[in-house]
Amino acid sequence: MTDQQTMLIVEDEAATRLALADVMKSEGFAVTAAENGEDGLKTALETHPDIILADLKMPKMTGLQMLAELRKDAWGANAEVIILTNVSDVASLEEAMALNTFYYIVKSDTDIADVVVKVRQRLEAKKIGAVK
Amino acid sequence: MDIHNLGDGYGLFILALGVLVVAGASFYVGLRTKVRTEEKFDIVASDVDELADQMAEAERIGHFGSFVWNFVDPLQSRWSPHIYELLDMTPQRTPPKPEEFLACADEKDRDRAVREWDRILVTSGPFTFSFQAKTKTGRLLHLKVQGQMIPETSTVRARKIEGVITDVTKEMAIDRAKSEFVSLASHQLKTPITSIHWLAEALLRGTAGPLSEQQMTYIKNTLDSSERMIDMINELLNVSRIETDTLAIIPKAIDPCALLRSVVDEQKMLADAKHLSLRVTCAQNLPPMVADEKLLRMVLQNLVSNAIKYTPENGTVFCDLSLAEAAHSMLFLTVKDSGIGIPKDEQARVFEKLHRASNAEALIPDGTGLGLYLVKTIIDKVGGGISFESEEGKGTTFFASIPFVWHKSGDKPLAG
Repeated sequence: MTDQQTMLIVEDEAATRLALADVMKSEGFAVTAAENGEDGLKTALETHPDIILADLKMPKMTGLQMLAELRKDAWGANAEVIILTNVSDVASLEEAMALNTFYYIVKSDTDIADVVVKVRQRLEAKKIGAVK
Repeated sequence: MDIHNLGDGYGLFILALGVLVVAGASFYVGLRTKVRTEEKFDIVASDVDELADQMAEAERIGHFGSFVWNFVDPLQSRWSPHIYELLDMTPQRTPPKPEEFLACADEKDRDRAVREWDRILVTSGPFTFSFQAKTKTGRLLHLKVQGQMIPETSTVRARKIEGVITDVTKEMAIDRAKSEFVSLASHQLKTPITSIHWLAEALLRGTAGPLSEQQMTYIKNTLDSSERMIDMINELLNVSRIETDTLAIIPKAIDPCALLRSVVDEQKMLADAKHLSLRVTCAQNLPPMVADEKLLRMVLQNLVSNAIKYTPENGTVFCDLSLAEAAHSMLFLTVKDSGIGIPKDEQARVFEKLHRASNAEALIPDGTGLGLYLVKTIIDKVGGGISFESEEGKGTTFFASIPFVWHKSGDKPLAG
């Protein structure tokens, strides 16, 4: 499938990563996964996924640090990122939004089905040129 | 000497002697009585002194003092010495007036304390409220005021307000530490519960292959339980945010009537199952509202769901939004039910954290006792007020006044 959309999941909690990755694969995405911000950044810059789902609280490099580094890269500056978090601290989320993040999802209050919907909405909008 | 010849002179002598004896005896009895009364008085006075000393000691140990404000005869008003001590004040013959006492409320709590007092002045019966105070010497302490308002006959105005003021600073610090712990623990719980929730969802979607009917049932139950647990965690987080004063208020334009209707719609199934008549009315002239939708939703959800939960079959629940007559900057919410009501002797504790009325507990043992506490705390925080009327076995009506415009504050949004 040449037009299969690619997704990078950056999440340190193994069980959450497993559930999300398996559902996304079943939804037709080509999924790669990383378990901390450092590996996530490296994979993102190497593979240029269509969309990145990133946690905030992670070892080695946090989601915010990863995002800040990503935005310094020519491709990464406009890469699609959705923040997945259980941290409901406005300051962190405002910081993430300031780093050109499209959306954040509070994991514990959201079904994976809703995450799928948000991802598709964003990729569709990008495809028809509604967003940069 | 013929005794008879002594005639009247002797008789008078006897009479005078008799009078003297009687007077002497009376004087003696009087003196004895006086001495005994004085002795008794001394004993009573010493008992009173001893009791007063014991009371003062108890007040010091318990960090509280008693007060009476008599509005009919202000000279009868008094504060026990420990209140002056708590507030670093010099004792006075007549205590400061309530408004002077409330002026010791710290700036952030002052409006709320004054509003609370204004409500107490026209609401007979028991009351409790607390606020942070700043003493004359600048010490910060948390005071809890508990007492009762006794109205004048045939009016709603207060004749007398009496009660105790307790320094609960230490208890508040412990409570805050507990809240911070609950917040930390709840956040930690969210990670594994998210995994359980998402893995159960993946299984249910068939991501790992088709499931038997029995497996489906098990997984659905796992999913339901995990959702209930997430709701509980969110409720605990919200309480801890409110108590550690880190709850964010993020106001935006909302239509309060649409919000109320959506809250009622969500709970319609529960009402229908009990054949309740569930009605909502909204005034036509409501101005637009700028409020935190999640917080307002939580207020409405708790009041509506309580009304439905505690109203028996075929009862009625009625919700109304209007403009508060006295202040047009306020939205006036009424939630009236024909439910089990709140027992009179428990009414003062309705908004206390974790408190559940005995009849509510007997009917639904599972409640947390956090709902009305959250409602009152949110309403207080945004500058509104809430009260209720209730009769056991007949029903309860909650009245809330909520400002149309809320101000942004805090750094953590409401969970859920």
